[in-house]
Amino acid sequence: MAQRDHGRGRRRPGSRNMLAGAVAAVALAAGTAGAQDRAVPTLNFQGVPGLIDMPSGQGLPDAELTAVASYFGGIGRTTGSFQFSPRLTVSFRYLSVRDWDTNLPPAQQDGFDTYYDRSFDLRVLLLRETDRLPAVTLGFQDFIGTGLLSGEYIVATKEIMPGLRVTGGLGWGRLGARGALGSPFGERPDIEFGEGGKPTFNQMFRGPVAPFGGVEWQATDRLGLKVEYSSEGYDEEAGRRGVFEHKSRFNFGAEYQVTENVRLGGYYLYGSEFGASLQVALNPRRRPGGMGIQDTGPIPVRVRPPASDQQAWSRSWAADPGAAAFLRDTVAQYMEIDGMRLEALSLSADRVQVRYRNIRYDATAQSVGRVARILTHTMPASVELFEIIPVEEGQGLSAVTLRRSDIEALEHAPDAAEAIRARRGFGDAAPMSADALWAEDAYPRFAWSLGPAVRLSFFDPEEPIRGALGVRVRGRYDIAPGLVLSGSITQDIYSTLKTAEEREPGALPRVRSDARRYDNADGPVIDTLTFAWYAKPANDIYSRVTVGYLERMFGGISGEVLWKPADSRLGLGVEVNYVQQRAFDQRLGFQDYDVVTGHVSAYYDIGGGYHAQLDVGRYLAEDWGATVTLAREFANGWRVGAFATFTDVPSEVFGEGSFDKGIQVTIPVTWVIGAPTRDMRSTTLRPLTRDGGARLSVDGRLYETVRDYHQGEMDGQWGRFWR
Amino acid sequence: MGKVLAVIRMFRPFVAFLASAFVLSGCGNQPGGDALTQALTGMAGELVGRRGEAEPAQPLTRAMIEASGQPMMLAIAPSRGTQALLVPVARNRGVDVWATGDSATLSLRDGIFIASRGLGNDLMSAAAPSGAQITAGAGNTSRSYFTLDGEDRTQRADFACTLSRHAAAPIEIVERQFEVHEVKETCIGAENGFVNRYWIDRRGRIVQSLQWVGTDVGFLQLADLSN
Repeated sequence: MAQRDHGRGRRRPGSRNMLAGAVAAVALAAGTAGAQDRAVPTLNFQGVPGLIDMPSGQGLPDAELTAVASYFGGIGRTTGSFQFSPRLTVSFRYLSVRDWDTNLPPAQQDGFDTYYDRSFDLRVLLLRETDRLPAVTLGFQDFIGTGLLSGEYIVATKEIMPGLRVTGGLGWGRLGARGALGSPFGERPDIEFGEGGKPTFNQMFRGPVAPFGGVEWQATDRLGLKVEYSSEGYDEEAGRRGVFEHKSRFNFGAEYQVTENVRLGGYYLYGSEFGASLQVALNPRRRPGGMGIQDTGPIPVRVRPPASDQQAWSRSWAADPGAAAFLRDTVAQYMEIDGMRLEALSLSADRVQVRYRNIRYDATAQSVGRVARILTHTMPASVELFEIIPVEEGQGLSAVTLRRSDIEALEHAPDAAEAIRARRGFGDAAPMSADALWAEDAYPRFAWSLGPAVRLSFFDPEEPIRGALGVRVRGRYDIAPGLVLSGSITQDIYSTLKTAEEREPGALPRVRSDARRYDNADGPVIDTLTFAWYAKPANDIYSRVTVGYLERMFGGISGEVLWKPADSRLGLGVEVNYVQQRAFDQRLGFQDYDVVTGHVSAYYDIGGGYHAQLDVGRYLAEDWGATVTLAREFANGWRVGAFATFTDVPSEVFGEGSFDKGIQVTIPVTWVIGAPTRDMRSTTLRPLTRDGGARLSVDGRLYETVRDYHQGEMDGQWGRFWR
Repeated sequence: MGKVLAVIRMFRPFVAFLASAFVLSGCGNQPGGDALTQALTGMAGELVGRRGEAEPAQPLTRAMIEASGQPMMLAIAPSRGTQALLVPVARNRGVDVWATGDSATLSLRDGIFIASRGLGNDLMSAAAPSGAQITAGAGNTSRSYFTLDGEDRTQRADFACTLSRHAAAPIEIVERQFEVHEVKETCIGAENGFVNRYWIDRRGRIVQSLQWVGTDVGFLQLADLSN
């Protein structure tokens, strides 16, 4: 911010150095669109805004995603945090404590050499920092984990002079262990651990409360110094287990901002230990490097000759039997260059309907815009109305109707994207007209690919990460519109997933907990082998039937119907599956267990980038219940969501974690590489995978297939229509 | 050192997650799906210096321009150290679209830059003064620039500009001398500002200009080679 002021100061009207000043201002503005602009607070060992081991009162910038790895005295933590809304920060942490049992007599040992634990935090920014008031945050640390790290705090931070921040707070639980002032809200009850995974409400703000605080000084642009007074006691780790020695309540640290996104720190903690941390911050709203999407420009609009040119405007071409086929092939060639495929075209003297597949563009509006410009080059002058229909799985998903004269008139208009949006028609795709001409090579069509296959398993209680690397062959045969035969075969080359099988006795059918036995399969495995039929039986209604080896653990038949008008925020779906458990070798065989499973689902675009999904039904282990998913989605395709499933399985039967929950992150590859592609990478992180609340995983679910081409998603990136 | 290693060890899940998200794609017969591979190959090419910028095959001469028989424009992006020759590929309602050999385009109305494509952080569209307003060399103009942010949302930036006329030394554009004066268009917006410069010959034509594209690309120097 300060940099901008410099720029403003230099722009004195009439100054001879005006250009130099303006250039410098621009250069500075571009060069510093980083740390200062964004004001990312520094992060602590717990991976949340804070000093060293203590939290601070600041929130992250909206939508910021951070990761912190920290280590001291045998205790390592990796924490991912996300600013879910301007005031709410959520964090997921993976903790390891070395020498957990080393110093204990055998009778007290837990059987862990290194203890691993997972925890969630929630932070609410109560007050934003102003000129006079500090930032104030209410924090709940490890509020649904095993409770090992449980603590609550209220903390305030104020920048008292540029670069100097002072923090003071009160902590309970873990943060009330040293220098306590008393227990204003009564004793803190022992943790009712049970199977873990439930909020520890009855403990909150109980027990001793202790003050903590510290000072952070950003000495230079890159160097920051911190000192804090910690109320954390490490009674379990340092006191009981002797993992390290707690000799002092003061901690000291120095941090170095390596790049806009990376910060490194070195520390001296609790009078006995050196520590280190690595902080990484990124924001889905900012592409790395600040560059835009690199792509070739579109062909410009071709303007028709004036109406006085009677030959150009003649409608007689429509009577020529060869004209439609010629135009279809020309359009197909243009589309090929821009990474799109023509499916079918239907023509009359004054309108054209184009059905096409968008293969390249993450922004579906960009593909629509490119098709529109291609049509200005290829269609005879009399064709005024363009109906552009994107198609996936053989089904038209929406229809954008544009007047050619609007495209011509608005190409160079200010805010051209909004100008054309205001004049377009948008709605459900009409069924294909009987006179439509299919593109020559549209069907049947065979596609294959060969590539690496990576499978990862995170946060296993015994090992932070396991994985397998292999080779995967995929094939897909589109027999006719909506009829698809597809399959995928994988051969592992290297795997750390293969381990001794442990089969704890469980009350539920082992629908997911036998993952190890599937991982142990030798030789090539059939990931999927399915025959699918997609259709659009009525306006706004889509259907799918998939038969075969649907996923690696189950095969059978899956049917789905979805109601989703192209311009609606709401979608409703029903899915019913009858599946049988596959053999562990993942070849063609099946085991005895079979189940009818399915859900009624509601999908809703809340607005402001928030999406909710509710699935109610019967899960794989024959348990009944519901899954709630809440996600924050960004127009560029980023998605960060959390889900929780509650079924009629009691938590004792469910096992550790009590119920199924997790976090999903989807990253558009375009965002990373800065070139258009429809490729997305998704990961679901679950603290634990168990048998309750498990859903079938089947490819081609309808909502995910259609939504990119519906109004919410398409308009989110409508700005790319003219790219 | 041990601590650092421990930190790195703790970070493995995240590194692995990112790695898994962006491991190489493979091969196949499907078009469009290999943008990632292309990007990685491109990066590798840049690292070993295979790509470099296209070296100017030979210096541009007036004879070459005249032999080409078509209008041409020379664009230089000082911030990127690149230059390109452009030819007009379309005209729509007074706006000329000029294209480079690798399909980047610049749109100019009467010599006033109003849009770019293929430069990354492009100027998507703009409200800008007319060529006649600029060549008048005095008075006030206003501009609105429309760009896309990292989320592909349209961002609007408004600028208030003042024009001023200045004497200037003759300039040479590919072997040809032009007696010119300079018009400066000083623009100030809420967050930043810039000064566009236009060199105008005796016949009132803009023969060369330095016009602002945006915070990332900076300025483009444009010279009309058909004069």
